[in-house]
Amino acid sequence: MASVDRSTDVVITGIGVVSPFGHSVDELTRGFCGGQHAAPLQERDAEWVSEIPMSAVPEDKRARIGRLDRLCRFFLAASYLAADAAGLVILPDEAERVGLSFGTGLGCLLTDEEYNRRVVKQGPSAASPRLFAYTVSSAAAGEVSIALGIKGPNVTAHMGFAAGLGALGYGYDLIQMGKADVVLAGGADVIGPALLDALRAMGLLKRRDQSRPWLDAIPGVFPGEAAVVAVMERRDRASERRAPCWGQIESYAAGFEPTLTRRNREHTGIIATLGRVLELSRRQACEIGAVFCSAHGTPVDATERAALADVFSGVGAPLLVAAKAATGDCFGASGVLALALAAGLWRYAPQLSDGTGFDLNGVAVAGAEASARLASTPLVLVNALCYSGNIVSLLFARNTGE
Amino acid sequence: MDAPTRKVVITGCGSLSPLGSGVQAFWDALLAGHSGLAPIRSFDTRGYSHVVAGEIKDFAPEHVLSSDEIHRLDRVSQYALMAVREALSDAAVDLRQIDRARVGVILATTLGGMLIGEAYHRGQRGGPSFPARQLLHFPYYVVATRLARELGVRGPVVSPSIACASGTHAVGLALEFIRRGQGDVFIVGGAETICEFVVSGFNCLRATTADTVRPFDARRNGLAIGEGAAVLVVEEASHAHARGARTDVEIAGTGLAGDATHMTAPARDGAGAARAMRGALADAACVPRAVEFISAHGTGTVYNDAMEVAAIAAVFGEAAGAIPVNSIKGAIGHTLGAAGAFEAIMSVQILREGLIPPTVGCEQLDPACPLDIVRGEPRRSEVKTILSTSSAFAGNNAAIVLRRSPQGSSPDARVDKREPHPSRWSPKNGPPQGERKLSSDDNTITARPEEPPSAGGFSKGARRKESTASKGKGSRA
Repeated sequence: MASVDRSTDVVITGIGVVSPFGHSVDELTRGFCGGQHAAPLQERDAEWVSEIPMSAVPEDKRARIGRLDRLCRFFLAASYLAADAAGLVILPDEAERVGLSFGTGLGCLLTDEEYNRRVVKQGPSAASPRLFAYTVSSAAAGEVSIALGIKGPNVTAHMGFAAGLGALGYGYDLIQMGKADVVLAGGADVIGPALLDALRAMGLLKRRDQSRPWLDAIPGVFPGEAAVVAVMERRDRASERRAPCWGQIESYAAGFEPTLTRRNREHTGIIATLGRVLELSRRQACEIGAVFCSAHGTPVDATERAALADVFSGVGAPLLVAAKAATGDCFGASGVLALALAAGLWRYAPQLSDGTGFDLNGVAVAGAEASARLASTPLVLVNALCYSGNIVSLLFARNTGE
Repeated sequence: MDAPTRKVVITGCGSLSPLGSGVQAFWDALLAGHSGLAPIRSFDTRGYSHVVAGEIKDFAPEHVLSSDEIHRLDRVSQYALMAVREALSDAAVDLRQIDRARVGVILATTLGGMLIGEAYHRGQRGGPSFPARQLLHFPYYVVATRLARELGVRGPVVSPSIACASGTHAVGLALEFIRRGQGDVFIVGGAETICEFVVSGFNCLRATTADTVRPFDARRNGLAIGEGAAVLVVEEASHAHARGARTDVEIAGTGLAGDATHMTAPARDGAGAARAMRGALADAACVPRAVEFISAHGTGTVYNDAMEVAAIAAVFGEAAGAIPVNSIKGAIGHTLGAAGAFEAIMSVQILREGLIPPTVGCEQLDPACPLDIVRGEPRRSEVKTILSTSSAFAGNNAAIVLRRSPQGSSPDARVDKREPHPSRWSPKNGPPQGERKLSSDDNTITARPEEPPSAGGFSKGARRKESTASKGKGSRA
């Protein structure tokens, strides 16, 4: 079994959030703690549309915004917010050492739909070269690279709805492997009519109040849109430029559970993934004080909880937090959104309301107790699962150097 | 074992291409200089200006897949599973016998279930009714996750998405995942299907050819889309060795870089592609002079090929014109997310067989492309190190280094199993009777540029004026 190279610590120096609760870690945290339920999302006909803060993009870079599709705008806004929060300035002579690692579950399907609609309706003469350019999921990373002048490794990946957290993991790899000094990494997803049609037709489209992680076993999701991008860099580099530090990535693992779509689900793939994330970081389960779960109010929640119960058996129960209770399921952005929430809860230490934390039996923990437990833990686990079987687990350590 | 010492080898290959089903058919046709390009038959092309593509002919999944699998899987997943079956058989690996928590799938696709998306929109427009449940198979990640479920793996499952460089990145990502301890065995590759979506898209970009693909040719005028699946079994070397698998071809390095200049056109100076190449060489601890063959992206568009010439010149300097280069886009078309995986399979064959296939379609080498483009005939050359490179929309560039492993083994039993048919090219049998002979008379590495570099040198000769091209030039895909 390989061991990770621990010589290069990777820290997060900035987080850009475009979420149902607002456009900062602070707003996300306050929204979650205030018991909100995806308030800024507007239910407009069949579409859930969230606001994109394009004002985050500098004026001299806004000329291209008009041509960008929705996914590109989400990623672009989140990237500028992250770079701004990190105080990151990418100089031309550093551009080759800065990378991008984006993950998305649905990718450019919204643009694919629009392009397809035109061609099916009007024939090939209606094909738009401008639109076609955005029918690759890597278009968002391409636009961000052009806008910010990033010339290092530039990667986009699909890993079901664990894609964003997986992209964060790969960004961590790029830095640890010495292939980049700084990586902007994160996830985003936007919602299109085809997705809503599919979910509705199968009875998998939930109302907000039906989406209750741990408490429901009803298949289906309340969909949301979000983009979260983190600036990751080597700790020595961050320290040198006195950048803010939100925490340190300790390790991550990607895995798969092929039975998640079946009636009789197993959790061996989840356990194997959790085992690997601990092994790669040389950490013990007992060191983890809280788990930001993937739970979103479907039967898969019980499978995740069973896996956690196995891993934490006999070593003390962590606090379980389900961000999707508030944000809805933001698909490929969900895992990174949960990490941003963990960072926010650590930094701002707000009082959690009752029912925002659970134990391994699914029993709600009182808000005061949950707040105290979170404040005292130096290490959290962030989980992202997708019904497709994709799993990503990431260990995030509180910054102790601040 | 420490991460940096983990070696990674290719233990099996499988393919389904416009040149036929199976790696041997693919390889034989490449050596014979055949092209799988033809007018599109899979959809009504009325209204399309350019209709040449590399389609799978006489697709017969029933020879490999069960009726249940054929019923359950869409076309792209069927392509992929067929290639996977061949690759696993070639690797002589039984996944049930190994820890599947250490086995992953990395499958690239730029189109995924696009045929499902098209059917959905036809249904919306009054076409045949379309079951909404099918839309669950539309997202890009589904091809990889379906494969993973079929195989019962529990390691990482990823669908890299850097457009036409995805296949090369998939191979490189497997190397990185194994080095980083995420798994020991990865089923890696790419799969695509021809559909109206992509043909109309490249047509409207004016990137497609009206007749045929001619990489690095003076008359090149665009690309043709191809389809198929290419899959490799990538394995940690000691894991492969322990089960007696071949370990003779190593993935030694991988590099990625962004252009940050344009969404669909290549950076004219090839700087991004050059950075990816240098990154792969550095990752492999390989000096440029060790590279004995370059598998180019070579789409046959004016700008892509010129960009690659500039990039190769930047990395290899004066030696650039002495390194054999080919492109297989004239043989199978541009298979987009699968392209890099097809090129990796060709590279494995080159390292094992000592033959470099010609560049189909390149007849009049462009003087502005002063590389040693292998053309006309296959060339015998005992290549030990290969650089394979891809470039894509959004300014993505990826490169990998493959090499014959010094400690590698190729068990006799496996070599015997692959005994070539008398009608096929092989080092042992030589060329089939009545077919062309090798372009080189001996086994030494030859550095014979077909044409001398232009008087103005590489960079000057490699660049074309934008105003000279109106078709088949703009796309880097």
